[in-house]
Amino acid sequence: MLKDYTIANIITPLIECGIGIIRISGNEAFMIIDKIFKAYSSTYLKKESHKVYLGTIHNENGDKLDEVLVLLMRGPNSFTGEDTVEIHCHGNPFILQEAMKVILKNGARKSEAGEFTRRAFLNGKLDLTQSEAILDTITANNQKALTISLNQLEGSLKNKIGALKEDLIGIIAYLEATIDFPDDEIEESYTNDVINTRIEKLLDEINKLLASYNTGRIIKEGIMTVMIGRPNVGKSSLLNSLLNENRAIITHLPGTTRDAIEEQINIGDLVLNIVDTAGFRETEDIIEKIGIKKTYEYIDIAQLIIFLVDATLGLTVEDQLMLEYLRKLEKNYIIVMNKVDLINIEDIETSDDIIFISAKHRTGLDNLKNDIKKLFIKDEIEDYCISNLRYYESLVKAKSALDMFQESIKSQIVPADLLAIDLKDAYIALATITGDDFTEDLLDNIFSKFCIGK
Amino acid sequence: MNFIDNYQIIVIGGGHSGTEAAYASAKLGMSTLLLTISLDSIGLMPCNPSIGGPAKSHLVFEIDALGGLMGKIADRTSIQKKILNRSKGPAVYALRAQINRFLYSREIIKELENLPNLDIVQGEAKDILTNEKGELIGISLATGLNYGAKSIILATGTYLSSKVIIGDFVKESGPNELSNSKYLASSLHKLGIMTHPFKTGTPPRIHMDSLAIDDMEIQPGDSKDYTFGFEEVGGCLPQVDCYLTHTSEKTKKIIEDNIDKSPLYSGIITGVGPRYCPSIEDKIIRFPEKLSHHLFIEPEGHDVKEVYLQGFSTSLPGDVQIQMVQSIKGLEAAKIMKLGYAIEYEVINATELKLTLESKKVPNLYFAGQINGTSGYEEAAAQGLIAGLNAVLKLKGEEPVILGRSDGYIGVLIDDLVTKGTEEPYRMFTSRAEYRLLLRQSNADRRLTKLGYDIGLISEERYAIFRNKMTSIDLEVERLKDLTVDSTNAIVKEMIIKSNSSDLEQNIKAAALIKRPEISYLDIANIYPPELIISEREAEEVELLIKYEGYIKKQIDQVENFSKGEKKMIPDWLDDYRVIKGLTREAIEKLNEVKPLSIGQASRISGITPADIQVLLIYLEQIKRLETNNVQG
Ligand SMILES: Cc1cc2nc3c(=O)[nH]c(=O)nc-3n(C[C@H](O)[C@H](O)[C@H](O)COP(=O)(O)OP(=O)(O)OC[C@H]3O[C@@H](n4cnc5c(N)ncnc54)[C@H](O)[C@@H]3O)c2cc1C
Ligand SMILES: Nc1nc2c(ncn2[C@@H]2O[C@H](COP(=O)(O)OP(=O)(O)OP(=O)(O)O)[C@@H](O)[C@H]2O)c(=O)[nH]1
Ligand SMILES: [Mg+2]
Repeated sequence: MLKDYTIANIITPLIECGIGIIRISGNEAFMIIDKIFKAYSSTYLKKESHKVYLGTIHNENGDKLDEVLVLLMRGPNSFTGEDTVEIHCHGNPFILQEAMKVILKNGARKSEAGEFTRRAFLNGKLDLTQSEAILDTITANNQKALTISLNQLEGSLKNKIGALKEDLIGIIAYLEATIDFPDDEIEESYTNDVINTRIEKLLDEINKLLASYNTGRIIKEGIMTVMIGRPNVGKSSLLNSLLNENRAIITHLPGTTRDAIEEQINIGDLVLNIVDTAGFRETEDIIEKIGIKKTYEYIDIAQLIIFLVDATLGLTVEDQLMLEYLRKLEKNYIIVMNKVDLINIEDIETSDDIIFISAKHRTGLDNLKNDIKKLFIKDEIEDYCISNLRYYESLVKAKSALDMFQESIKSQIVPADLLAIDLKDAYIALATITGDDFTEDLLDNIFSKFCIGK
Repeated sequence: MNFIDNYQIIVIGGGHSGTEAAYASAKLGMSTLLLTISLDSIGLMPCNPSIGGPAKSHLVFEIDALGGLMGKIADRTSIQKKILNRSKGPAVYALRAQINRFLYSREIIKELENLPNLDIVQGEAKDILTNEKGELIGISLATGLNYGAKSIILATGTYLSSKVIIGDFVKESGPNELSNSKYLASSLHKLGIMTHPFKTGTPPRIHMDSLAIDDMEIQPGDSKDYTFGFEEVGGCLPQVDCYLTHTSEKTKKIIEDNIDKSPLYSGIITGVGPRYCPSIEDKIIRFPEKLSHHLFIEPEGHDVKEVYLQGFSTSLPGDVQIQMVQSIKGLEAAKIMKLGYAIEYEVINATELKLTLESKKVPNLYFAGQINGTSGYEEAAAQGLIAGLNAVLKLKGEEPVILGRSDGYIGVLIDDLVTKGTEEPYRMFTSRAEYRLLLRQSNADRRLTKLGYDIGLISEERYAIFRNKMTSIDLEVERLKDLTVDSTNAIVKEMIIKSNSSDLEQNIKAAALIKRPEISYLDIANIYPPELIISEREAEEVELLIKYEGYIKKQIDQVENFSKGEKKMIPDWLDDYRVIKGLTREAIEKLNEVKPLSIGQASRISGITPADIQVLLIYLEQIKRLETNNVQG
């Protein structure tokens, strides 16, 4: 923890649509931005401090993520007092997350809560009175992080990581036992081939965990959900019913909601970041027009679309056009027929993929919730998943150490003491997730597995 | 108080720890008293007759690099030498010597007897004496004599209130029928220093002529002239073999049938023993699926018949021991000369100590060796040397010697003990060292000899030779990095073919060629000889520095990161962490107990979280700002 890591984080709220800012601070900030940013102008090469550069950022494969503004600030003349880079992206939370991922891959660590401020203080950029506030956040975050991580670790993730560690330390214990106890009978159960296969299996598991990161993140950070439908179908009513409060204004007049409204609701373990939009229709009203344009932007970034239809009217032409549009998007959507209280159910054709509710009388809401869960929680992933960027990053570290190990062991010449260096790095990366002491774990393992001693 | 004599430093204990301490102290000009219960216990090896092995050998090389005793005396009295872990990599090569233990203690005594500033006295220390202010003033002996001292080093080993246990026989005694230390523990308790019991054990000793060695596998040495000591030549005594044999299923049965007679299982022994050297009964019970365990026969000297049965430590009753021993292949007619036994003794909690090994409670009182919870000759010697040096340096008003985890195994050893404490007898392993590729036995001199010279334990001549050695290694590495190997040269081509290496398409730097696994330094040096003559061990180091350059660099980077925390010092005045708001209660307790010197050390205390460290950092920064504000204002 004492390493003067370069840290990075998204410093604007995740859901905001507009501008999203990522800040990178530390010795390697400029180096990292170099790797992911292509400036339009060559003046960027001069890296002048307190200048803004326009260009594009790219993921590992070189795919363009976004067009961005990059602001360079050389330490000590920055907020934290260190070399600092700010990337101003379009506010799409997914792009921000992707950008964070490449930044971390390139050597930064995700900042802890309040860490930028902490560094600012430690580097003499803030005055003394502010340190009290910082201490308070650390203490609070310490408690919060503890409960969050305990909850998460109590579950199967802890077991999973535990199993990986167990496997890995078994191999390290073998290597170390042969080194520290050359006279003892250490069963030669670990030939290079055996070790190799076991490491490959470990890598598979780690890759699976890494892949589960998206699901985990969805659980923790929420699913971007957009409610759409023609005016007056009851979108705002549904939002209120789900929220159990009167957040959105409901009227019998079509076109009541002009601006998108965002709320968070919980469905079991899932969090929906739900957006109520203005109803779509041809309109002359300029404000409403803007609202409707925004609806399409939301559809663009949504992970889930709840498409409301008025049961009393059935699928109108406009509905059908929208449905076609949705089908082409390859996104998760759910069709919901509202106001079933006003019709006789038997009169209409039911279908499995349509859910019938009454937003006003709160019927059918459980069906809707279950369908959402089914879409996002897949059974096999439910066992364990990574929802925390820090864990994700630790797993990436473990993975790259194991990759190095495999390279070394293939070369056939790297001796055991050096092979152990990479395995230990991998283990320590995993242990930062569960927080254990490497040497103690290792010695316990050696003494319980091998009959050692004079 | 009436003192017979006054010394600057008194060392209590003539074991491996006490002798290093007394040697360093007297060598550096301090008037020194070495007090021991029995003169016969000076330099005594009460357990296995060997020195070195993985991590322990590293300690011995470091002791020697600083100018200590153990390495050179082991060289002079060795009767077999072996290099272990040759195939396992440069970080863990380790030298192990079988020792003529009788000569070893004689040679230690000789070194000490001839030191001008050192007095050696037989007697049992009874009380640590302090004045009304609680300052240390001297010791009193059980016989009533008093000696005055400015500093005292306690190195009581396995003697403090010790008990020897064989079956249900229990005797208040030190090892080898030597008297134990009866009173000193309660004197410590009075000073507020608490103790608790640890235990260890030793196997029976057998008469060589009663063994059928033809039924065993011979274990010869392989590196007679390889020395721990920088200035030693090695190999002057006749060399002997060890032998390998195995326990039988009969042994297993005898032990299983008699396990209820073991003091370990009957509850007589309460002290904590080391997991890495379990008794044979422990091994049989814990690994029941293992039908046979291997054992080594180790001679205790080239001219004595007493042999040590390594791997067969036991505290079962005598009659059972005889049956057990005679159930081993080649030992059917074995005659036991000394029974195996367990020993229980008192140790302190080393978190009571500073990194200098000085007590936090009683200034000028130092602790070293087994009394700090370690086990092993090498661990004891290393601490004795450091405690001795620090006692001297403090009296001289100079900076203490504190080795870091990246400076040496000695640093790892002391940091572990003082920062984390130990729940079982602590032995050094290479796996305890995070930066072990940098802590090779081959570069112990590079790491520590300058320090030994600055302190005054290394002579001018040795320092000059050392500097030449470093220069010739460095120059040779430089030369090979610059040297271009001519790919068209016929001799080069021949060498490449002979080594089964791939053809050179173009000229290549010599260093790059040495990085190929199949090419050695000598392959190149034979074709392009160095200007300076390079010794074999220098050549080894040159090759290693080139071949493992990448890994070495990686570890140096790790150390750089690590050192940042080590350099952030915590001021002395911070001795009660309750003043810091935001620390958890557990953190406050731990920090108050250990009183870490640096942020790095604080972060290694078990139970201290990263958040605690942040709180601490911010607190220290707050104080710093307040101070500068006050100075300005
Ligand atoms: C039975 C037995 C089994 C062992 N097994 C192992 C093992 O399995 N593995 C291992 O690594 N090590 C083992 N050892 C430990 C090894 O012997 C010690 O680690 C090492 O010798 C400790 O060195 P020391 O200098 O701390 O103390 P010691 O070598 O024990 O020396 C202590 C000295 O202090 C003196 N002394 C004590 N009290 C007083 C007093 N009040 N006044 C004056 N003098 C005093 C004694 O006379 C003695 O000279 C064993 C030791 C014994 C006895
Ligand atoms: N009977 C009945 N009326 C409903 C139901 N859901 C909504 N309504 C009524 O339909 C009208 C419109 O509801 P809103 O929730 O404002 O509709 P909206 O889709 O948000 O409309 P805009 O914001 O104008 O696009 C209100 O008068 C609601 O009371 C329902 O399930 N049953
Ligand atoms: Mg509405």
